[in-house]
Amino acid sequence: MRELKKIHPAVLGVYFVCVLGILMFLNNPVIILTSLFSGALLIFLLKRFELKSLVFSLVLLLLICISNPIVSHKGITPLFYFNSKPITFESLIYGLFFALMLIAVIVWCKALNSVIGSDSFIYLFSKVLPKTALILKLSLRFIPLFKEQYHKTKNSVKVLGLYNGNKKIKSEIRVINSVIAFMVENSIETARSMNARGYNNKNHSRYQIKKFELSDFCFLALTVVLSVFTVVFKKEFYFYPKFSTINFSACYITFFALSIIPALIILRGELKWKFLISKI
Amino acid sequence: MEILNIKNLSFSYPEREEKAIDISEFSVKKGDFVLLCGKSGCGKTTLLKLLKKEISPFGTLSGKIELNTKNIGFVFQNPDEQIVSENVNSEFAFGLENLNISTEEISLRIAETSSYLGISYLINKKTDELSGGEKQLVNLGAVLAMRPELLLLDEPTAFLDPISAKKFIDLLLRINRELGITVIIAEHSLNEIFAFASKVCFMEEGKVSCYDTPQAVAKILKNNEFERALPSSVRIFNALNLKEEAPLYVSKAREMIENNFKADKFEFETNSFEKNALCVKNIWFRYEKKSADVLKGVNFQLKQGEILSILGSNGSGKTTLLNVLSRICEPYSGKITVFGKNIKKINGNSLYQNNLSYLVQNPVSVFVKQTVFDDFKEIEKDEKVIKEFAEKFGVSHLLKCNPFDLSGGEMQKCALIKVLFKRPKILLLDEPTKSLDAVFENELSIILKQIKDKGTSIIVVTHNVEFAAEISDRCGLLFNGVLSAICEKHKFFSQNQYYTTASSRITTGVFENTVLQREVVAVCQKQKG
Amino acid sequence: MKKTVILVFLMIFTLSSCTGFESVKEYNKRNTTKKSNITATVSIDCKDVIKNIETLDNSVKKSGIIPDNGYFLKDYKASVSKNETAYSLILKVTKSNNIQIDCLSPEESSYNTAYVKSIGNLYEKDCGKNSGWIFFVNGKSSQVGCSDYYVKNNDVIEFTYICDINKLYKKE
Repeated sequence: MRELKKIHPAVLGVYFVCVLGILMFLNNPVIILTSLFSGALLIFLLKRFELKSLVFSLVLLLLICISNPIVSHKGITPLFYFNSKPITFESLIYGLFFALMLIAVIVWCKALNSVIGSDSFIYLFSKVLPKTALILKLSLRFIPLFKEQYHKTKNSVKVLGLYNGNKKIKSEIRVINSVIAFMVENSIETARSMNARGYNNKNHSRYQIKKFELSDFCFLALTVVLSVFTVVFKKEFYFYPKFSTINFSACYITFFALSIIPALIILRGELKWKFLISKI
Repeated sequence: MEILNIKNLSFSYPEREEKAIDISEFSVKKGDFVLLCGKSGCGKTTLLKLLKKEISPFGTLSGKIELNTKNIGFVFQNPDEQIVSENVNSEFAFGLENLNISTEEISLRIAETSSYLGISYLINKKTDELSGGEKQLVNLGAVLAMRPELLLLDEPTAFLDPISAKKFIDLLLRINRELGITVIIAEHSLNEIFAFASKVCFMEEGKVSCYDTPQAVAKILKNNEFERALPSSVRIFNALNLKEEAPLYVSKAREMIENNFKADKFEFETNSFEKNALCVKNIWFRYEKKSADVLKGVNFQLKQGEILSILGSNGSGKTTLLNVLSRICEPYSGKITVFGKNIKKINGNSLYQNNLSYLVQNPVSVFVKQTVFDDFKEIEKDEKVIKEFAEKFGVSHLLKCNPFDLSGGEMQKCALIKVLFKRPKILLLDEPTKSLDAVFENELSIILKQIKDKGTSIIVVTHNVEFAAEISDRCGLLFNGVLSAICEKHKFFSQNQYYTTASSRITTGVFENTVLQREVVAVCQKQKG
Repeated sequence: MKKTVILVFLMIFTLSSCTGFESVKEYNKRNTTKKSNITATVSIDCKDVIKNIETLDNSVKKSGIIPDNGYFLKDYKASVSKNETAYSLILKVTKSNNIQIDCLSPEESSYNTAYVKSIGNLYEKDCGKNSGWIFFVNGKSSQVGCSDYYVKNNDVIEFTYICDINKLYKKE
């Protein structure tokens, strides 16, 4: 995990954009399954695996698998008829893979979130889009504050006896009203504090915490090369009206290699550590 | 050499006729530590803000402000509101970025400032994980890293507990003495700081009433309403009309008492309360399955018609205890009975109607409407009753205001009234004196005693030892998850050596059972004849 | 809480078993045509696709659903019952010939008339963005939707897939 954090956040950003881009635009079941496997492995190695999110993904899967055939009746093989409309095998499988793609995107975003810490994310932007970076910085600061104030307000509303079991929505709205008013007042004071620390000055420097190193260039080059190969050798896959055949293609190998890189880096780090410990 | 010179300064807010500031002369020398004090609304905050042009309020300004430096730092009252970033490191970097300083120098300054303040262990933490005291230290550090020559602070310890406040003030004194940074600080709670200021400036209605050394100001304020804000040693001295210099420290005050009076005892009345309002048996509580126990078998009774204070340090679990008593959290073991009935068997909302009420810390979350009157109407439908209560507690002039425009003390009063509309028989208060000045604190203690006389039982959780000594009948100390040493107030404070009132510390070994400064004065006056 | 969940599940179960669900066999068994005196000739063709094979979507090209001669159905004689519309006729005909059809009934469609989305797995917009199904009556393109045209004796109904609807309008 530490090995990954040493890499420059911009390089990691490019990596995740490539993987997510290929995953979303090359609608190919092999690619989807590969990314799901590597993403899950990465999450497991980053120790961010939660049972709750697994359950959520399964529920999402079920929902999409059921709703897609009801909406889309394309496809050659009807399984049965509902209200004179065919429920086809192709649309069921399409729904399945669409849901799997969504789950893969969520898994990779989770990995992204845990590898690129939030302040690194901000530093990505701060030289290029300083104002956007500031907005992101402030939003990240305000989210936990909002949560905390929400709990405090909910407790005080409960104790005033205003949190009725019957009028739950009304009570929730009241709580959120109060929290929003608090946040507005808070932000005015924050603005004052920022002004007091010279925010309105014309020239600002940008605090960079990471510099580009050779390993960053290698990682970036590897990412770009593998992504380009995957796109060049891409294989179109069709679900409707009939499944296209899955033939072997080089793009599957290059994508697998691309998606497994972070997991390999973490494993290498762990093995290195264990090796060093065993020598002591 | 003067760093600040004000001549004929007059300022009023837009659309208001009365002058918020009306100072004919005020100057500060380089390296001074100036304490600005005065009632709420006397103009301390306005004056400080006028000194820094980026946050100067709008209004009509006339007169001259001469500043011999451009490098001014400002620390505000609320630790949460000043923080901009998610982690401490970039919080420090924020101000430095604005000064257009290179990355290497930023790293150097952060390292240097945080080490000097002793907060380098906080550098990698996220800001929402810090306690109030730590947040305020980070704010101070972020301002210091910009290397100001003049440091302005607007009630920086208002939201802090006494230990963090002491630490903060100590650091300020160190900064002033070791680095030569001029400090102008506005404060309400003067116990820690009055003795150490080089000069004290007392303001009334926008004017500088007196500006002199602490001893001189102590004498001048003898008959002023604000006198109750001064430290106990000074107040005792003022009440006794002695010829010596006003003692600023506990040790000097003790010397004065020992020199002038002999050993004595204070006779106090004990009120006996019989029936139990609240009975708490063996409460165990923790927030999560894997976290440590916060409450480890708390046992006590609250008698009807008494005020019980629960003291304890930060993080000892006082707020948690109140949360459990008001059923916001459920203990995993133990029993609570309210007037004999098990609390679990009382239906949710009927517990809070005419039964038990809880005023949380930072009463901001109690208000939601546009005016205080509308907020009151949310609970009490009868407008006549609202007006009656407002008259009784002296807030009729605030009914039309927006709750967010109220000062700390006014907001606390209005929140308390809102809770009182539920006619509770048991009242739980969490840190009611936070950010209150001495005058409001006094008014609050009078209100609480009035409520108590009408039969309400009150539990007050507080850090403020002086306030607890003033209002309570019994006191208890929450430590290590257990409520220990619950006993009558005089006995409680007399038997403690450190966690006790200044008056008690002043009179250790000389008087017995003197816990409040009026008790000390009474004994002294009895001896005099 | 538990009781409501069980009730809801029971409701869904009974509803679903009553309406709508039928297997492929059952569906095909339904709607046997009655013999009558009125007949019409029905053709379904996609010759225009074969002419414009480059614009055909890759997924359709590879699936092999386009018949080589361009006809899904050629000159099929169907018996027409009373008040038969072109819509109900094409439904009957495709069912008895095992040809896929996906259409919106007049109630479901937003034009208040039936709308044919696909026949034989060839969907509208598969061969360019202006492609789709239209029908001709006796050689002339119809002025009304297929559920508004009542079939008469000896009518020649042709459902044709054209790749560019604008060209058709230009012709006319």
